[in-house]
Amino acid sequence: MTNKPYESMSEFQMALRTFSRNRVALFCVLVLFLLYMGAIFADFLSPYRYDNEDRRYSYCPPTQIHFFDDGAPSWPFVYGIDLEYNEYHKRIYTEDRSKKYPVKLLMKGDEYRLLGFIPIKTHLWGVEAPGRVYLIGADSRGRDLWSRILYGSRVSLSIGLIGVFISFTIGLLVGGISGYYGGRVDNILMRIAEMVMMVPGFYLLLALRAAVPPDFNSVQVYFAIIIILSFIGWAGLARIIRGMCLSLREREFVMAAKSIGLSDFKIIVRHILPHTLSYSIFAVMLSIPGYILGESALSLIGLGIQDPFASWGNMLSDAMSIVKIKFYPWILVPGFFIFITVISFNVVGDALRDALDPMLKSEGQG
Amino acid sequence: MLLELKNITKEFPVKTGIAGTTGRVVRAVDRVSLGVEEGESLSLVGESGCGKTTLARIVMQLIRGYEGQVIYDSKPVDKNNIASYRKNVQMVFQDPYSSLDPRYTIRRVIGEGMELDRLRFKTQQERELRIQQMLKSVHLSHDMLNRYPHEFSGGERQRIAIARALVLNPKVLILDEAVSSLDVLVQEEILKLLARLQKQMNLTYIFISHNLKVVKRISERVAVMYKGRIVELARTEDIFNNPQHQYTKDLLMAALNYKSVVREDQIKINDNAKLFEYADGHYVLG
Ligand SMILES: Nc1ncnc2c1ncn2[C@@H]1O[C@H](COP(=O)(O)OP(=O)(O)OP(=O)(O)O)[C@@H](O)[C@H]1O
Ligand SMILES: [Mg+2]
Repeated sequence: MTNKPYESMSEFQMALRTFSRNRVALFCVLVLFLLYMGAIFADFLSPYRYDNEDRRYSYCPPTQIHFFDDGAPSWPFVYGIDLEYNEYHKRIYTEDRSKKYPVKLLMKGDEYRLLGFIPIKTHLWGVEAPGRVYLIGADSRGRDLWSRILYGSRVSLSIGLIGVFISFTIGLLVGGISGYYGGRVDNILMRIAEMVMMVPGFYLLLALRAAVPPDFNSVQVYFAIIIILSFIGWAGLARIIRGMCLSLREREFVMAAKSIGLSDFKIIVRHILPHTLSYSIFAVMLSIPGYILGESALSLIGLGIQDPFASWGNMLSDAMSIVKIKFYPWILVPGFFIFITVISFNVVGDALRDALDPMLKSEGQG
Repeated sequence: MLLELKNITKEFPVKTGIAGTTGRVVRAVDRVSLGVEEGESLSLVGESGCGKTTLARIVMQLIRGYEGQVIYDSKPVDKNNIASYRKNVQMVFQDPYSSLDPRYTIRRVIGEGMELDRLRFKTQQERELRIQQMLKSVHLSHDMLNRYPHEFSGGERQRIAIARALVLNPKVLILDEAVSSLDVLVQEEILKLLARLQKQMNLTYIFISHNLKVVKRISERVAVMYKGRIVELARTEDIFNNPQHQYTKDLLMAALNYKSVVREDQIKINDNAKLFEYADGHYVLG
């Protein structure tokens, strides 16, 4: 009746097992894990604060880190940076070999609060002032792009999670109620959902953004963006969950739950919504990129997170001119981070769908 | 009478595609009146689609919007006494593959049945003891408690469903095609189990089936249902030896000989027809 290795495994555990055999997906999980760790410890991992600027180093190219001094291996160090203008008044940065700044680990630098509480100054690495290190280059104000990418990931990566959390809570509840009760409640809720879905997402995004007062500070804008994106996101999910609930409520275990006197709320939460979980899990994964891209799009056109605060989207807004991209290609790096994040979520989402497939089929939603 | 149904009628709107309802209705259950005595087992037979499940769900109060009354212990069942009603009337469902939530371990499935009466099994130990006791009485071993439904066969699942229904010691158990999806040997086991449980716990059964052979074994009285109506109601031996209604006769023929199928056009039911007492305790629609 049972074969030993599968004993007492729920279908869910079996799905996890299938998932863990997918190497590419596991790699993407690792990538996402690293990205999120980077976001959490952004201030520790970055040599500078997001707003630590030095206009002398505008668009300074990546600083070379040297491992050899006159051919002999040495502790990594950087040279000072010299600024000259050529005949076209273009900035030319050269290494000033007379000044040497060793790379320091656990260096004291800009003060910040670790994990939001503990005020400290220690950074994982950096060089002592007046030396400056730009791992992948500087932006127009001479701020370290690497540090800003780390800080920006906090905005870009968290907006996906919080946005998805909000819109899924709404989507699950609306879909669950709509599907379980049916009838008029269903009709009203679904017409509302359709209205939200009918308007093309990006116009809705712009229209809603226009409704947000212009004098909001960055934190307020951040939450406004999350709420706007969730407002757009819940409807599609609600429709699908509703369809599932409509068929689930006819299943006999729901009848059985009713006949042992469980309340409607308990039935929805215990016996209906969990069966939409396998769908929801990969739908979540596949919809997070939408939030990240949504924030980027808003910030890119200047309606999102405002300078000096960093997000991958507003960092990219600097890269909208082809001339700048030609001379300072490193300003495109935030786009690369958006790209790998989005790809990773998609790969993980697809792998989850494959792993959960038997479950979806057994629930009649394959 | 322990449980009484009075003039139960249930109509479903006929849905036509996307346009919604047309106002037409289908009568799944039509003016059904029945009484069940304490400790007896009454069978409800009839072909597929005649309204047996709908009637069972009405008795179990899972469907709203029906006409007529369900009376338990001389009191009509309503919102106020539904909880105590459910402690006394429970149901085993048709399909053992869909009546257990696949996400629940057997312990949780049975344990959930106890939530209706939290005062009876207060502590964790009391509940655990009761779960083990129930498992034993349906002949399952307690090492199955942490497993999930998909690891069990149809017969085992049906035992689990029986254990869940009986965990609060109800008086009435409705069995909707409880053995129909099982093969003959397993049917046999479950029927024996049901007979034994009935004696042990002094249960009253409403046994729904389309299989007359099974019905013959388990029930004292049989109600024959056709297109939502009860066409004949009598003691089991009377139904089998002395059927009166044409539909009952056809049904018996069909059970003996697979070639003879019940032919709809031959059976006409007058809409105004009422059950009359043909002999002592033997009612026929006519
Ligand atoms: N929710 C519903 N909506 C509309 N019509 C329904 C609904 N439930 C049942 N019916 C109709 O009512 C009639 C009786 O159905 P019911 O399920 O009670 O039959 P049954 O005797 O249990 O059949 P079976 O032996 O196949 O289980 C059928 O014609 C069915 O189509
Ligand atoms: Mg049925």
